[in-house]
Amino acid sequence: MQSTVIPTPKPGFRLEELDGEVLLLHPGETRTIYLNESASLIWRLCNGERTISELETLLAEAFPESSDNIHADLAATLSTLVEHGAVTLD
Amino acid sequence: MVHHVGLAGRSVSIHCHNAHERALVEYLFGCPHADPEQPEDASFSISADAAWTRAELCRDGASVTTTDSRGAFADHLMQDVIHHLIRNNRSGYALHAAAVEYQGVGIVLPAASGAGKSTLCAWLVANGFGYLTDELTVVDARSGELHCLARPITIKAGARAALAGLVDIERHAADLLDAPRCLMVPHRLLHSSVSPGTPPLGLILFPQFRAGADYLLQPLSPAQAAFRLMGSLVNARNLDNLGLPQIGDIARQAPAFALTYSDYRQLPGVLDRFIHDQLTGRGPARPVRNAV
Repeated sequence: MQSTVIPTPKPGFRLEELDGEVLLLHPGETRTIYLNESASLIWRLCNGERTISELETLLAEAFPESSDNIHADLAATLSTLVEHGAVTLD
Repeated sequence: MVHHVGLAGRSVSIHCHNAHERALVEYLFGCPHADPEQPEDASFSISADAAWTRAELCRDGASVTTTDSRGAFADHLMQDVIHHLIRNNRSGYALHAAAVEYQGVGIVLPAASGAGKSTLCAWLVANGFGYLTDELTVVDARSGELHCLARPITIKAGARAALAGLVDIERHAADLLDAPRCLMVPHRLLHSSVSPGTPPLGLILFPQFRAGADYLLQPLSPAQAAFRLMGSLVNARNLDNLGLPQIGDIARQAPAFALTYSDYRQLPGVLDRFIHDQLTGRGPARPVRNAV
Protein backbone atom coordinates (compact mmCIF):
# COMPACT_ATOMS: atom_id res chain seq x y z
CA MET A 1 0.00 0.00 0.00
CA GLN A 2 1.28 3.43 -0.82
CA SER A 3 1.82 5.62 2.24
CA THR A 4 0.01 8.58 0.65
CA VAL A 5 -3.19 6.61 0.22
CA ILE A 6 -6.12 7.70 2.40
CA PRO A 7 -8.24 4.91 3.96
CA THR A 8 -11.84 6.04 3.94
CA PRO A 9 -14.54 4.31 5.96
CA LYS A 10 -17.66 3.38 4.05
CA PRO A 11 -20.88 4.90 5.40
CA GLY A 12 -23.12 2.71 7.48
CA PHE A 13 -20.51 0.77 9.43
CA ARG A 14 -20.43 1.21 13.16
CA LEU A 15 -18.51 -0.26 16.09
CA GLU A 16 -20.31 -2.23 18.77
CA GLU A 17 -18.85 -3.85 21.85
CA LEU A 18 -20.45 -7.10 22.89
CA ASP A 19 -19.32 -9.17 25.84
CA GLY A 20 -15.80 -7.88 25.60
CA GLU A 21 -15.50 -8.31 21.84
CA VAL A 22 -15.52 -5.47 19.33
CA LEU A 23 -17.64 -5.88 16.24
CA LEU A 24 -17.81 -3.75 13.12
CA LEU A 25 -21.35 -3.92 11.84
CA HIS A 26 -23.19 -2.84 8.74
CA PRO A 27 -26.89 -3.41 9.44
CA GLY A 28 -27.94 -2.84 5.86
CA GLU A 29 -25.56 -5.44 4.51
CA THR A 30 -25.73 -7.83 7.49
CA ARG A 31 -21.97 -7.91 7.68
CA THR A 32 -20.06 -8.31 10.90
CA ILE A 33 -16.33 -8.07 11.29
CA TYR A 34 -14.60 -9.03 14.53
CA LEU A 35 -11.85 -6.59 15.40
CA ASN A 36 -9.08 -6.94 17.93
CA GLU A 37 -8.09 -3.96 20.03
CA SER A 38 -5.54 -2.52 17.63
CA ALA A 39 -7.83 -2.99 14.64
CA SER A 40 -10.70 -1.21 16.35
CA LEU A 41 -8.40 1.71 17.09
CA ILE A 42 -7.20 1.83 13.51
CA TRP A 43 -10.83 1.87 12.34
CA ARG A 44 -11.54 4.81 14.64
CA LEU A 45 -8.54 6.69 13.29
CA CYS A 46 -9.59 6.25 9.64
CA ASN A 47 -11.44 9.48 9.03
CA GLY A 48 -11.11 9.85 5.31
CA GLU A 49 -8.40 12.50 5.77
CA ARG A 50 -5.40 10.79 7.33
CA THR A 51 -3.00 9.03 4.99
CA ILE A 52 -1.53 5.65 5.82
CA SER A 53 1.74 7.40 6.62
CA GLU A 54 -0.01 9.74 9.05
CA LEU A 55 -1.78 6.82 10.71
CA GLU A 56 1.51 5.05 11.14
CA THR A 57 3.17 8.12 12.63
CA LEU A 58 0.28 8.66 15.02
CA LEU A 59 0.34 5.08 16.23
CA ALA A 60 4.12 5.08 16.58
CA GLU A 61 3.98 8.21 18.74
CA ALA A 62 1.29 6.70 20.94
CA PHE A 63 2.87 3.27 21.23
CA PRO A 64 6.65 3.67 20.90
CA GLU A 65 7.23 0.26 22.49
CA SER A 66 5.27 -1.30 19.61
CA SER A 67 6.83 0.67 16.76
CA ASP A 68 8.40 -2.45 15.23
CA ASN A 69 4.97 -4.02 14.67
CA ILE A 70 2.92 -1.01 13.66
CA HIS A 71 3.64 -1.03 9.93
CA ALA A 72 2.68 -4.69 9.59
CA ASP A 73 -0.33 -4.41 11.91
CA LEU A 74 -1.63 -1.40 10.04
CA ALA A 75 -1.21 -3.04 6.65
CA ALA A 76 -2.90 -6.22 7.81
CA THR A 77 -5.81 -4.38 9.40
CA LEU A 78 -6.41 -2.17 6.39
CA SER A 79 -6.28 -5.19 4.10
CA THR A 80 -8.94 -6.89 6.23
CA LEU A 81 -11.13 -3.82 6.28
CA VAL A 82 -10.82 -3.38 2.51
CA GLU A 83 -11.52 -7.07 1.92
CA HIS A 84 -14.75 -6.81 3.94
CA GLY A 85 -15.82 -3.64 2.19
CA ALA A 86 -15.57 -1.43 5.28
CA VAL A 87 -12.85 0.82 3.94
CA THR A 88 -11.79 2.09 0.54
CA LEU A 89 -8.29 3.26 -0.32
CA ASP A 90 -8.38 6.57 -2.16
CA MET B 1 -33.33 27.08 43.82
CA VAL B 2 -30.48 26.52 41.39
CA HIS B 3 -28.15 23.58 41.81
CA HIS B 4 -24.81 23.71 39.97
CA VAL B 5 -23.16 20.43 38.99
CA GLY B 6 -19.59 20.55 37.78
CA LEU B 7 -16.95 18.16 36.51
CA ALA B 8 -13.44 18.92 35.30
CA GLY B 9 -14.13 22.52 34.41
CA ARG B 10 -17.56 22.03 32.86
CA SER B 11 -20.88 22.67 34.58
CA VAL B 12 -24.63 22.58 34.24
CA SER B 13 -27.34 24.19 36.34
CA ILE B 14 -30.52 22.50 37.52
CA HIS B 15 -33.45 24.70 38.50
CA CYS B 16 -35.80 23.30 41.15
CA HIS B 17 -39.05 24.85 42.27
CA ASN B 18 -39.92 22.92 45.39
CA ALA B 19 -38.60 20.66 48.11
CA HIS B 20 -39.24 17.32 46.39
CA GLU B 21 -37.44 18.41 43.22
CA ARG B 22 -34.53 19.70 45.28
CA ALA B 23 -34.42 16.47 47.28
CA LEU B 24 -34.08 14.41 44.10
CA VAL B 25 -31.31 16.61 42.72
CA GLU B 26 -29.37 16.43 45.98
CA TYR B 27 -29.86 12.65 46.05
CA LEU B 28 -28.39 12.36 42.55
CA PHE B 29 -25.64 14.97 42.66
CA GLY B 30 -24.94 15.71 46.30
CA CYS B 31 -24.36 19.19 47.54
CA PRO B 32 -23.68 21.91 44.97
CA HIS B 33 -20.03 21.74 43.99
CA ALA B 34 -19.60 23.88 40.94
CA ASP B 35 -18.68 27.53 40.73
CA PRO B 36 -21.96 29.33 39.96
CA GLU B 37 -19.96 31.96 38.05
CA GLN B 38 -18.59 29.34 35.66
CA PRO B 39 -20.12 29.30 32.16
CA GLU B 40 -22.70 26.57 31.80
CA ASP B 41 -22.91 23.86 29.19
CA ALA B 42 -26.64 23.47 29.79
CA SER B 43 -29.41 24.74 32.05
CA PHE B 44 -32.01 22.24 33.21
CA SER B 45 -35.36 22.89 34.80
CA ILE B 46 -37.61 20.41 36.59
CA SER B 47 -41.36 20.54 36.88
CA ALA B 48 -42.83 17.66 38.85
CA ASP B 49 -45.80 16.97 41.08
CA ALA B 50 -45.10 15.67 44.57
CA ALA B 51 -45.85 12.07 43.58
CA TRP B 52 -43.80 12.29 40.37
CA THR B 53 -46.71 11.02 38.33
CA ARG B 54 -45.98 13.72 35.82
CA ALA B 55 -42.49 15.18 35.64
CA GLU B 56 -41.09 17.28 32.86
CA LEU B 57 -37.44 17.95 32.19
CA CYS B 58 -36.54 21.05 30.22
CA ARG B 59 -33.12 21.91 28.91
CA ASP B 60 -32.21 25.42 27.77
CA GLY B 61 -35.89 26.31 27.72
CA ALA B 62 -37.10 23.38 25.64
CA SER B 63 -38.92 20.31 26.89
CA VAL B 64 -36.71 17.20 26.72
CA THR B 65 -38.79 14.46 28.28
CA THR B 66 -41.84 13.78 30.38
CA THR B 67 -41.97 10.79 32.68
CA ASP B 68 -44.44 9.22 35.10
CA SER B 69 -42.09 8.01 37.82
CA ARG B 70 -39.36 9.45 40.01
CA GLY B 71 -36.97 6.69 39.03
CA ALA B 72 -37.45 7.13 35.30
CA PHE B 73 -37.04 10.88 35.65
CA ALA B 74 -33.87 10.47 37.70
CA ASP B 75 -32.38 8.18 35.07
CA HIS B 76 -33.15 10.65 32.26
CA LEU B 77 -31.79 13.61 34.20
CA MET B 78 -28.60 11.82 35.12
CA GLN B 79 -27.88 10.71 31.53
CA ASP B 80 -28.56 14.18 30.16
CA VAL B 81 -26.38 15.89 32.75
CA ILE B 82 -23.51 13.48 32.06
CA HIS B 83 -23.80 14.04 28.32
CA HIS B 84 -23.59 17.80 28.73
CA LEU B 85 -20.68 17.66 31.16
CA ILE B 86 -18.66 15.65 28.63
CA ARG B 87 -19.63 16.89 25.20
CA ASN B 88 -17.43 20.00 25.20
CA ASN B 89 -14.71 18.74 27.52
CA ARG B 90 -11.28 19.25 26.01
CA SER B 91 -9.22 19.61 29.15
CA GLY B 92 -9.08 15.95 30.02
CA TYR B 93 -9.72 12.40 28.96
CA ALA B 94 -13.28 11.44 29.87
CA LEU B 95 -13.47 7.71 30.47
CA HIS B 96 -16.53 5.55 30.77
CA ALA B 97 -15.08 4.16 33.97
CA ALA B 98 -15.75 3.60 37.63
CA ALA B 99 -13.11 4.75 40.07
CA VAL B 100 -12.25 4.19 43.71
CA GLU B 101 -9.52 5.48 45.96
CA TYR B 102 -7.06 3.62 48.17
CA GLN B 103 -4.59 5.38 50.43
CA GLY B 104 -4.85 8.56 48.39
CA VAL B 105 -4.37 6.88 45.01
CA GLY B 106 -7.00 6.39 42.33
CA ILE B 107 -7.95 3.06 40.75
CA VAL B 108 -9.81 3.37 37.46
CA LEU B 109 -12.14 0.64 36.17
CA PRO B 110 -12.89 1.36 32.49
CA ALA B 111 -15.48 -0.86 30.82
CA ALA B 112 -18.48 -0.81 28.54
CA SER B 113 -22.00 -0.88 29.93
CA GLY B 114 -22.87 -4.29 31.27
CA ALA B 115 -19.29 -5.38 31.87
CA GLY B 116 -19.71 -5.24 35.64
CA LYS B 117 -17.84 -2.08 36.63
CA SER B 118 -20.63 -0.70 38.85
CA THR B 119 -21.08 -4.06 40.53
CA LEU B 120 -17.36 -4.35 41.12
CA CYS B 121 -17.23 -0.75 42.29
CA ALA B 122 -19.97 -1.52 44.84
CA TRP B 123 -17.97 -4.44 46.20
CA LEU B 124 -14.80 -2.38 46.48
CA VAL B 125 -16.62 0.44 48.30
CA ALA B 126 -18.28 -2.04 50.67
CA ASN B 127 -14.79 -3.35 51.43
CA GLY B 128 -13.31 -0.02 52.40
CA PHE B 129 -12.17 1.58 49.17
CA GLY B 130 -13.15 5.23 48.83
CA TYR B 131 -15.97 5.86 46.37
CA LEU B 132 -15.24 8.25 43.52
CA THR B 133 -17.65 7.25 40.73
CA ASP B 134 -19.28 4.28 39.06
CA GLU B 135 -19.63 5.88 35.63
CA LEU B 136 -17.50 8.84 34.61
CA THR B 137 -13.86 9.60 35.31
CA VAL B 138 -11.96 12.48 33.73
CA VAL B 139 -8.18 12.21 33.77
CA ASP B 140 -6.83 15.74 33.84
CA ALA B 141 -4.62 16.34 30.82
CA ARG B 142 -2.04 18.32 32.77
CA SER B 143 -1.97 16.86 36.27
CA GLY B 144 -3.08 13.29 35.62
CA GLU B 145 -5.48 13.60 38.55
CA LEU B 146 -8.89 11.97 38.51
CA HIS B 147 -12.01 14.11 38.46
CA CYS B 148 -15.09 12.00 39.07
CA LEU B 149 -18.84 12.36 39.06
CA ALA B 150 -19.95 10.94 42.40
CA ARG B 151 -23.49 9.80 41.80
CA PRO B 152 -25.47 6.97 43.44
CA ILE B 153 -24.00 3.64 42.34
CA THR B 154 -26.27 2.48 39.55
CA ILE B 155 -26.78 -1.27 39.36
CA LYS B 156 -28.38 -2.82 36.31
CA ALA B 157 -31.48 -4.94 36.84
CA GLY B 158 -29.59 -8.16 36.17
CA ALA B 159 -27.08 -7.45 38.96
CA ARG B 160 -29.55 -6.77 41.79
CA ALA B 161 -29.14 -10.26 43.20
CA ALA B 162 -25.41 -9.69 43.63
CA LEU B 163 -26.06 -6.40 45.42
CA ALA B 164 -28.18 -8.18 48.04
CA GLY B 165 -24.96 -9.52 49.54
CA LEU B 166 -23.70 -5.98 50.17
CA VAL B 167 -26.81 -4.03 51.12
CA ASP B 168 -29.95 -5.00 53.04
CA ILE B 169 -32.25 -3.96 50.21
CA GLU B 170 -35.46 -4.33 52.21
CA ARG B 171 -34.20 -2.40 55.21
CA HIS B 172 -32.87 0.43 53.05
CA ALA B 173 -35.68 0.42 50.49
CA ALA B 174 -36.53 4.05 51.20
CA ASP B 175 -32.95 5.09 50.33
CA LEU B 176 -32.84 3.19 47.06
CA LEU B 177 -34.22 4.61 43.83
CA ASP B 178 -35.81 2.15 41.47
CA ALA B 179 -35.65 3.13 37.80
CA PRO B 180 -36.91 1.09 34.83
CA ARG B 181 -33.41 -0.05 33.85
CA CYS B 182 -31.54 0.07 37.12
CA LEU B 183 -31.41 0.53 40.86
CA MET B 184 -29.62 3.54 42.34
CA VAL B 185 -27.76 2.95 45.59
CA PRO B 186 -26.22 5.80 47.62
CA HIS B 187 -22.62 4.77 48.27
CA ARG B 188 -23.01 5.62 51.98
CA LEU B 189 -25.14 2.48 52.32
CA LEU B 190 -22.09 0.42 51.38
CA HIS B 191 -19.54 2.27 53.46
CA SER B 192 -19.66 5.40 55.50
CA SER B 193 -16.35 6.88 54.30
CA VAL B 194 -16.34 9.62 51.71
CA SER B 195 -13.56 10.26 49.25
CA PRO B 196 -13.55 13.84 48.09
CA GLY B 197 -10.65 15.18 46.15
CA THR B 198 -8.84 14.33 42.96
CA PRO B 199 -6.34 11.56 43.55
CA PRO B 200 -3.59 10.70 41.08
CA LEU B 201 -4.04 7.64 38.91
CA GLY B 202 -2.30 4.63 40.38
CA LEU B 203 -3.87 1.53 38.85
CA ILE B 204 -6.02 0.62 35.84
CA LEU B 205 -8.28 -2.39 36.15
CA PHE B 206 -10.45 -3.47 33.20
CA PRO B 207 -13.32 -5.52 34.66
CA GLN B 208 -15.35 -8.08 32.79
CA PHE B 209 -18.12 -9.96 34.56
CA ARG B 210 -18.70 -13.30 32.89
CA ALA B 211 -21.18 -15.79 34.34
CA GLY B 212 -19.48 -18.99 35.44
CA ALA B 213 -15.96 -17.75 34.75
CA ASP B 214 -13.01 -18.40 36.99
CA TYR B 215 -11.35 -15.42 38.61
CA LEU B 216 -8.57 -14.24 36.31
CA LEU B 217 -6.30 -11.24 36.56
CA GLN B 218 -4.04 -10.68 33.56
CA PRO B 219 -1.36 -8.01 33.31
CA LEU B 220 -1.57 -5.77 30.25
CA SER B 221 1.20 -4.05 28.39
CA PRO B 222 0.94 -0.27 28.00
CA ALA B 223 -0.12 -0.75 24.39
CA GLN B 224 -2.87 -3.19 25.34
CA ALA B 225 -4.05 -0.84 28.08
CA ALA B 226 -4.02 2.13 25.71
CA PHE B 227 -6.09 0.27 23.12
CA ARG B 228 -8.65 -0.58 25.78
CA LEU B 229 -8.67 2.95 27.18
CA MET B 230 -9.43 4.25 23.69
CA GLY B 231 -12.54 2.11 23.73
CA SER B 232 -13.70 3.86 26.91
CA LEU B 233 -12.74 7.39 25.88
CA VAL B 234 -16.06 9.18 25.49
CA ASN B 235 -14.81 12.65 24.47
CA ALA B 236 -12.35 11.41 21.86
CA ARG B 237 -13.96 13.51 19.11
CA ASN B 238 -13.15 16.69 21.10
CA LEU B 239 -9.45 15.89 21.27
CA ASP B 240 -6.67 16.22 18.74
CA ASN B 241 -6.11 12.89 16.98
CA LEU B 242 -8.83 11.30 19.17
CA GLY B 243 -6.64 11.72 22.23
CA LEU B 244 -3.64 9.84 20.89
CA PRO B 245 -0.80 9.76 21.87
CA GLN B 246 -1.79 11.12 25.28
CA ILE B 247 -3.82 8.02 26.03
CA GLY B 248 -0.59 6.12 25.56
CA ASP B 249 0.99 8.36 28.22
CA ILE B 250 -1.88 7.62 30.61
CA ALA B 251 -1.49 3.91 29.97
CA ARG B 252 2.18 4.15 30.85
CA GLN B 253 1.43 6.15 33.99
CA ALA B 254 -0.07 3.23 35.90
CA PRO B 255 0.02 -0.57 35.77
CA ALA B 256 -2.97 -2.13 34.03
CA PHE B 257 -4.72 -5.46 34.41
CA ALA B 258 -7.72 -7.23 32.92
CA LEU B 259 -10.00 -8.78 35.53
CA THR B 260 -12.53 -11.50 34.77
CA TYR B 261 -14.88 -12.57 37.54
CA SER B 262 -18.26 -14.15 38.00
CA ASP B 263 -19.03 -13.94 41.72
CA TYR B 264 -18.25 -11.66 44.64
CA ARG B 265 -17.09 -14.73 46.57
CA GLN B 266 -14.04 -14.88 44.31
CA LEU B 267 -12.82 -11.48 45.46
CA PRO B 268 -12.24 -11.23 49.27
CA GLY B 269 -8.61 -11.58 50.23
CA VAL B 270 -7.66 -11.80 46.57
CA LEU B 271 -8.60 -8.65 44.67
CA ASP B 272 -8.36 -6.32 47.66
CA ARG B 273 -5.02 -7.85 48.63
CA PHE B 274 -3.81 -7.54 45.03
CA ILE B 275 -4.70 -3.84 44.89
CA HIS B 276 -3.02 -3.22 48.22
CA ASP B 277 0.15 -4.93 47.03
CA GLN B 278 0.16 -3.05 43.73
CA LEU B 279 -0.23 0.35 45.34
CA THR B 280 2.27 -0.30 48.10
CA GLY B 281 4.94 -1.54 45.70
CA ARG B 282 4.73 -5.19 46.59
CA GLY B 283 2.90 -6.30 43.45
CA PRO B 284 4.41 -7.86 40.31
CA ALA B 285 5.86 -5.50 37.70
CA ARG B 286 3.85 -5.04 34.51
CA PRO B 287 5.13 -6.46 31.23
CA VAL B 288 7.00 -3.89 29.16
CA ARG B 289 6.96 -5.70 25.84
CA ASN B 290 3.96 -5.28 23.59
CA ALA B 291 2.06 -8.50 23.39
CA VAL B 292 -0.55 -7.34 20.87
